Amino acid sequence: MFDDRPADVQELADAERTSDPSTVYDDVDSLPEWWRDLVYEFAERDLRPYRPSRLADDEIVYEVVRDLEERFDVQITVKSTVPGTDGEWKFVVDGATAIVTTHDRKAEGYTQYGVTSEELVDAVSTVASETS
Amino acid sequence: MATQQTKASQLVVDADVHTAYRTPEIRQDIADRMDEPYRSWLLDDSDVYYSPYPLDSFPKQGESTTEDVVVHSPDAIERDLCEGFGVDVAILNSLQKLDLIPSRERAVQEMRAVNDMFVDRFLDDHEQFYGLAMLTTQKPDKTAEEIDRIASEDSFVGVMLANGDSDKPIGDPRYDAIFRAAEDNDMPVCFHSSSVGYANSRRFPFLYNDLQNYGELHMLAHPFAHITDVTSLIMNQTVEKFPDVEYVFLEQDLGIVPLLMYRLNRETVQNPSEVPLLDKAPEEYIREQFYWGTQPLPEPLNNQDLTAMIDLIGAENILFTSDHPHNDFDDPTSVIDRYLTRLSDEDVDKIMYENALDVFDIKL
Amino acid sequence: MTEHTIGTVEEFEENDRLLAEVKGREVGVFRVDGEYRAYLNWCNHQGGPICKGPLTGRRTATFDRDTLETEFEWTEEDGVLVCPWHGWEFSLDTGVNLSRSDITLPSFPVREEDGEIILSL
Repeated sequence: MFDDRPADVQELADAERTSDPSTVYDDVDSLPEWWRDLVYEFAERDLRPYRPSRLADDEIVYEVVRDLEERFDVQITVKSTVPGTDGEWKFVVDGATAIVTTHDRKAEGYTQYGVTSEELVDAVSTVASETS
Repeated sequence: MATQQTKASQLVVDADVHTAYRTPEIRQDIADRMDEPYRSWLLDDSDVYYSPYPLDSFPKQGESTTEDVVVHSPDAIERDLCEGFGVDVAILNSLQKLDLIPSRERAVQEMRAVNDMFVDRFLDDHEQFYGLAMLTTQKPDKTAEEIDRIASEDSFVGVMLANGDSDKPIGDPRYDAIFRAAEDNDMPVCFHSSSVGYANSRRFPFLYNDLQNYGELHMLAHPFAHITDVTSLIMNQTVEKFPDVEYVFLEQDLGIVPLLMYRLNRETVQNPSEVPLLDKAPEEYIREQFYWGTQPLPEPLNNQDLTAMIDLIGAENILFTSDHPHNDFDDPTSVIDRYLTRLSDEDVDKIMYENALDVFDIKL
Repeated sequence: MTEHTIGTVEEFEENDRLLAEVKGREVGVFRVDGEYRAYLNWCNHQGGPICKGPLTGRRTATFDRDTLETEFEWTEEDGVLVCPWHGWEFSLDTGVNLSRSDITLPSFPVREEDGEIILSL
């Protein structure tokens, strides 16, 4: 998806430590590739700077979920079907709901779920062991 | 110490020059073109027009109204403004406050009489003078007829509304006929308010007697009236209903322009259902159809801030205006020397004459 | 581009949308006239959670220059997505902002296959 990014953005990716394109990051290049790519994608689309969603204890959702998927050999889907700002979100493990929580897009520009990484790990391991 | 680079403009077009309308002679001239009883009512008015009529400037040196200073004849204007201050072409307006006349019938008749007087007295035989026909908003269909009537007079290059005292803000659909006629006749619509007798002198939110000093009154009166009417023209979608009309605002203060562009952008994007006819952002309409007089030039402590403001608004949308003969007058040489030195020569020319010649379709 | 199964057609029987976070990106999937649309859950304005917002319709108007009358019509009921933060409105069908035609919600390919909703990122 990012193979055809504009040359100037590629230049930026190869550049030395910089606060561009997102003024919220001191060093974009030190970020994990998935994160850095999204920073650039959002900048290209002239959106507010990308900030990854996090759990209640500020752990980054994608990284926790990816680790759990590898550890338990499961597929985790983070989803909701209920609209509205108070709608419930679910962490679903191989089709089974592990935990239901809140989803809050903060004024600071990132989403925060109402569950800690510890609670999520417990929930996922419980479901993973039940279905294995 | 570096000397200031001097600039000059090969031509100066002044888009805001007032004429008198209340001297006994001019009042008689207007009355002669009216029927009774309005003829007599006009002649019987006291020295303060449509009394009680507040004075239009607190006495500074004893003189108090436009009528006391020398714009009662074209020769006087030629002498003081053209010869005295180097204005080559003047676009005159009488700023007759026709919307203050309580009788709507009288307002309509006086509108026609004023415009006829204006041509005879100030425009004919004066090649460097052009005029803005004065309009009342009190009977919009009659106003539209007046635009149709005066459009054939070559020396009228636009029409003027003395805004701030219409029954509703000027974009109200009841006034659509006025803008349709302006578009049909290719007439720019100009707006000029007043420190006295208008927006915050007689209407919300403040009345004339609530304000303690002239600075308060002068600061609020003009900008408030224009902010109201620009907002009204955009939010009532007049700009889209009649897309070829150009709007010229005079004595409005350049400082209101970024406010209007950017704030109205926000108001419309958050409530598109309120303005379903608009298909552009307000800023786009303003940049394409709206023009702004320079006078009174805002005076930041740092002159560079004015250059930044002009860049934001766009030199192509600004017209030099003097507001002769009022005491907050800006003369063309001072404007260039003190405030426009950091602009390019091209931008100075746009402001000092090109934009006005273009908007008012004046061919020299 | 990678594909992700994020839900099923059955989930649209009782709900008007499906929201999911995939690889750090939040997306909202809607069904418009039997077809699916997927938009980034991030409003172009200030990054609000647009896909969580209410659905509404669109007010159109035509002006008759001769009669000076404006006629209004309410259309596309539930076809407009409103950002819950500042009320920016976007067409659910095209993702284009109702007020600013140069602003479009970022979208992603999405399809239904064998009853599953498959998102491509």
